[in-house]
Order: sequence, then structure tokens, then C-alpha cells
Amino acid sequence: MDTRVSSFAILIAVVVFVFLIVLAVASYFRAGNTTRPPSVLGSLWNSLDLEFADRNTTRTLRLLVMVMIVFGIMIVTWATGAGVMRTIWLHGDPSGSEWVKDINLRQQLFSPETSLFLVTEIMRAVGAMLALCLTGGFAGAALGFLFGLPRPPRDSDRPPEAAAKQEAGGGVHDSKHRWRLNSNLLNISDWLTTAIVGVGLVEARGAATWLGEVTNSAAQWLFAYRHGSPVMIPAAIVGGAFSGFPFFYLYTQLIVSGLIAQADLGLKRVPSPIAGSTLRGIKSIRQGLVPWISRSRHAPNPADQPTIQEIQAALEYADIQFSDLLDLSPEDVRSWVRAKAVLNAYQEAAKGIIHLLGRAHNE
Amino acid sequence: MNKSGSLTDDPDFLLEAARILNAAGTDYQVAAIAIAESAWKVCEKAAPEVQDAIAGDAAALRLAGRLPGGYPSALEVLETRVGVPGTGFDQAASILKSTADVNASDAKLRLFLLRALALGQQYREMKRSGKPVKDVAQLREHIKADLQFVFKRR
Repeated sequence: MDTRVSSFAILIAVVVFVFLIVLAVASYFRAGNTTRPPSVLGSLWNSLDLEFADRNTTRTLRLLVMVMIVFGIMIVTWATGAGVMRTIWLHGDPSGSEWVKDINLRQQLFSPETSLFLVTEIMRAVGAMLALCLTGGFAGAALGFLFGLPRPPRDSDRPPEAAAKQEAGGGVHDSKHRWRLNSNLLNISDWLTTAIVGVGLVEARGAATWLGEVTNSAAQWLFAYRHGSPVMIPAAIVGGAFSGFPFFYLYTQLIVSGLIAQADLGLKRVPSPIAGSTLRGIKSIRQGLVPWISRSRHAPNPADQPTIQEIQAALEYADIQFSDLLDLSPEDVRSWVRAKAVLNAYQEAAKGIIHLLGRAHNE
Repeated sequence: MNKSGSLTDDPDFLLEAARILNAAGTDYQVAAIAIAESAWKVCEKAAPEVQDAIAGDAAALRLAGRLPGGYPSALEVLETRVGVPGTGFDQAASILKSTADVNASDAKLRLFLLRALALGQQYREMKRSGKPVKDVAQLREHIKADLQFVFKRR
């Protein structure tokens, strides 16, 4: 190969590498240090610039994102070089197209035709490599998600006395549940992970052979086995998978599991019967519940105040929103109203009263 | 809580509902007044202390001018629970003695205070219209008696 053309190929690869680094740094500063709405690149960076309440989680996931970005930059750099080299190779390939062969690279290196062909080849190589990398990444992410999902409790996990108590109907925990999260996906992930580990151990050799065949075919179709593609294509797929798996495994374990648990807890949070009876036990004339109607609009605070028990009972209703009242019985709605009144949230309590009056009117 | 009948006939609920709507601010004032009146209409079904509380709210609304009728209407309401001006002290004193419920005694004492305030409005009107001194002096005595009864116990 001509020295000038080789230098040109190296130059293009270096320029692309430096450009990507500069772009990443500029996007970071643009996204982080401006009050203006972020640009498209800034938004993209923001989506990668993870921020969680727990500092260690943030650092761990950021580290993985950085590894993925560096890996992606390396793949793009190689693909750029491969695109340039493929252009040159096609020029000298006896089976190449006449149009390519007609171009005299030595004399027309910067001609529009050469440049267009070169750019197209680079885009083809970069696009194909990123697609392969992402395919591996998605496969790894799917596995990471499946393995990272929390496992629903099995009956065998419970202590025998607790299981017996539940069977006897004494389980306070379950009796409080009105709604439950759909755990079908969690069950499926449980079965699938067991099956994947079992089948994977048996079929490991077959899987490696299958991956080799796939990457060989890709290397043949994309780069005709040249420019190191038989090495780089499996590296891109496996690297993508190995980046995607830990990221999504940790993300699912640290973030998604927490969200699922939080949602489940939110659905389970029904006030205890004691809280209900405490609130129902408050006399309607109690000023600690609600002050009497005064002649003045600015009446002083009443001397009678709710007790600690009444406030604690009221706090058990704090997570129940007005929109949830449709699911509650009139007695429970009245307890909710009283809980709001005890906490001086009279606007909300008034909505509950209107709701109750409406229900009574329609019955 | 009235479990057998409708909530709209339950004086306990209506008392509570009116007070909550009243406390919720100006958006619910009209509803608060309407429900306080509904409570007053079904007041007889309630326990004595709840009747006192309902009567107190109904009288306060009239005295504040939020319901029509002014002090004569308020006095009519109060009369059902503590009698005409100058009376009702002995019966109230025995009730207050027998109950340990602070809210029940507050509700009862409030009725005497409201009666004093209603009589105060009547006194001002009588003075303006130039009524005989004898009538005005008698009214003043009634007011003093009510206030003394309340402040002696609080």
C-alpha cells in the first residue's frame, strides 16, 4: 500500500478518536455547567450521567457507563480505520466495482467521489460495529435484568411456625393487603434464570461454537475477513454483552428492585385495624378533631388537642390519597376524613366529606 | 356513629361534617352552613352533649350573621337547650357536676356564653331604640348571670 494512503488512513482514525473525546468532554461541560436547556448531545450525556441518592450506587454505575463509553470509542475508532482500509482494499481488489477501480487514489485522494465513497464506507463500518456491539449489549442487559430481578418469596423460605400461622388465617401481614403487585414476571425470571444456568452449563461448548459461526459470517459479510474483523467482531459482541450484563444486573438489583419493593409496599400500606378503631372512637364533639364553628373567622386554637395515639393512627392514613377513596368502605372513608382532620388537613378532609355525602345521596 | 340510618340523618356525622367544611376555608362555607342546618334539624336524635354542640354551632352561625335571623333566632335555638334568659343554671350545674367529659361541659358552657352574646346584641339594639330603663337593666342582669355562670366554671 502506498505510504501516503496509509498515512491518510491513520490520520482519519486519529482525527475521529480525538473528535469523539472532545465531543464527550464538551457535552459534559455543556450539560453540567449551564442553566440553559441542554442540547441534544447534552441531553444524551445527561441520560448517561447517572445520579442516585446513594453515592456508592452512583459511582459504581457511572464507572460501568464510563467503561462502556471507552469501549464504544475504541470500537468506533477501529471501525473508522477499517472503513478507510476497506476503501483502499476495494480499490485494489480485482473483483471490486469498476467505479472504485477507476478512481486513482494517488491522484484523486481528496476528490468528491473518493471522499463520498470513503465516508460511506466509514459509516457502514461504524454503524455495523455499533449495531453488533449493541446487540451483544442488549443480550447482556436482558440477562442482567432477568438475573437481577428480586425473587418472590417461596413457601420453603418461611419459618415453619410463620407458614402454619398464615395457613391458620392468623397472618396479619397478608390480611392487610388489598392489592398486590403482579409477580408473574418475577416468577418467570426465577424459572428462566434457573433454566438458563442449567442449560448454559450443558450447552456451553455448543454456544461458543454458535457464536464463532455467527461472528465469522459477520466478518465475511462486512469486511471479507480483513482488517482484523474476525477478532474485532466477536470482541465487540462479547464486550457489549459483558458491559450490558453487569450494568443492568446492578441497575435492576439496586434501583429496579427498590422501586418494585416500594410500589409493593405502597399497595400494601393499609392502616391497621387499631388505627381505624382509634379514629372511629373520637367523639364528634371533640375540638381536638375539629374546632367548633365560631362566630369569628379567626377563632383561637382549641385547648383540646389530639392525643399521641390519635395522631399516630392518623399518620397511618397519610399515604392514602383522595383518589383511593373509591376503593374504601364508607366507614374507612370516614376514618380517612378523621385522620386528615386530626392532622389539620381540613381541605382534604372536606373533600372526603363531600365524597361521603355524595355516596350517601346516591345510595 | 349511626350505622343503621343514612349518613345524612346522622347528627354526629353532620356536626363533624359541618365543622370540617367550616374549617376547610371559604371554598366550603356555603356547604358548612347548609350541613350545620341539617344537623340542627335532626338534632333530637343525638346524645345530649352532641345536641349542645349542634345548638352551639347553629347559634354561632346566626349571631355571626352567616345565617338569617340574628340574635332572636339564636336565642330560639339556645332556648331549646338552656331555656329562656335567666334560667337553666341549676340543671346545667347538675349536668356539669355529673360529667367528667371536658368537651361535653365545654359544649354546655358555650351555650351560656352564646346566650350572653345574643343578649348583648339585644341590649345594644334596645339602647339604640330607647327602650325603658327597667327592661334594659333586666337584660343586663341576665347577661351578667350567664357570664358569671361560665367564668365561675372556667
